Order: sequence, then C-alpha cells, then structure tokens
Amino acid sequence: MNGSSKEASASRQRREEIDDLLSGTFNSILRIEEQSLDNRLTHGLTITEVHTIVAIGLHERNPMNVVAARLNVTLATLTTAVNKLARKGFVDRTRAEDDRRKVLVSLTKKGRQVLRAHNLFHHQMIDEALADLTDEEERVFADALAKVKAFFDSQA
Amino acid sequence: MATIDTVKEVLVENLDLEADKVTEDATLESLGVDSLDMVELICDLEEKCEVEFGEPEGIETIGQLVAHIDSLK
Repeated sequence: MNGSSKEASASRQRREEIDDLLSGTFNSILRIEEQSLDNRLTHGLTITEVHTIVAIGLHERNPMNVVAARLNVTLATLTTAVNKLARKGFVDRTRAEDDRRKVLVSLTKKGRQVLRAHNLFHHQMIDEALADLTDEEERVFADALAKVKAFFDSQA
Repeated sequence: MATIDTVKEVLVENLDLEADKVTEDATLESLGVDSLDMVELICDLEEKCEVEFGEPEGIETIGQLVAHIDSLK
C-alpha cells in the first residue's frame, strides 16, 4: 500500500468511527433523556409530551400554530397532544382577547415545573458530559459540531 | 407579606421544615433543599410573589433567594 492509499484508508476508518460515535451519542442521549423523566415532577409523561411543554414556553401564551411550527408538527397533531396535556393539568387553553377564534396555549404551574425540571436535567447532563474536556477541546468541539449540525439541519 | 415570610411559608409547606430554621443566612443545602425541591419552590414563589424567576445561577442562601425575588418586583 503506498502513502496516499494508506492515508485514504485511515481517513475512511476515522469517518466510520465518527459515524458510529454520532449514532451512538444520539441514541445514548435519547435513552438518558427518557430515564430522566423518572422523577416526581415528570413521572408518567413521555419525552414527546415534555418537548411539547418546552415548545409552549415558560411564561408565554402562544397561538397553537406558533407552537406547532416550533415542533414541526401539524396543527391536528398538536391539538391531540395539547388536549391530553390539558386533561393531565399541565396546560391551559384560553381565547385571545383581540380575536376570540384564536386559541392560546400556556403552561400551568405543574407544566412550568416540568419545563424547569427538564432544563435542569439538560444543564446537569451537559456539565457532566463535558467535564473531562479542556477549554480548548470544548471550543474546538463546539465549532466542529456546529458545522456538522448545519449540514444535518439543511437536510432535515 | 415580606418575601422572606413567603419563602418560609412555602418551604414549611413543601418540605415540612421548621420555620425558625429558614433564616437569611441558611444555605439551601443545609436545609436539605435539592434541585427538584428548588424547581417546585421557584414555581410556587413565582405564583405567590407574581414574578418571573428566570434562571439565575449562584443562589446558595435564603437571603440570596429573597434578594433575587425582590429585584424582580
């Protein structure tokens, strides 16, 4: 094997490793996020329900279409999710004062507890995950990941 | 009601703490307030004090908690 084919082979191997690392990290984060719901404030909720609560916002009163756009789901899908969350006491629905046809959605205190508990989980997870990186490694990691994410966002 | 009294009231109600122990100098850690207790405490205080708490870092004592809430009023 000559020099350039050795390099090509090493590069191919590294990319396969990165592919495994990306998929593995993605799956681990999903699993850890699921496990994090097992506490007294979020018990019984699915991760999709928690992400709906996050999209509604801590102290916001948003029209349904705004929340649907944040989640990239249809209005019908969001309506089903919000009905369920309202029945469980996490979400309130009100009519807009300037346009009674418009439904606004906001969090109850119970919903705000879920959002704050979820934010807390994310803060703790990222602090622990990056604890072994030096400042320089963290900066390089952030720059490289931002570039990779931009590609995935453009494909999604 | 003074903010410190509201904080006392919520902590006594939520965590069954003795009101006398909830002083300005007491740390949240010494009172046994963990991070999930803190989430509940913040949401209750937002409602009772009619403030939006935000996500401040470095609150370690009851006095700092009271000062933060008062700064939002």
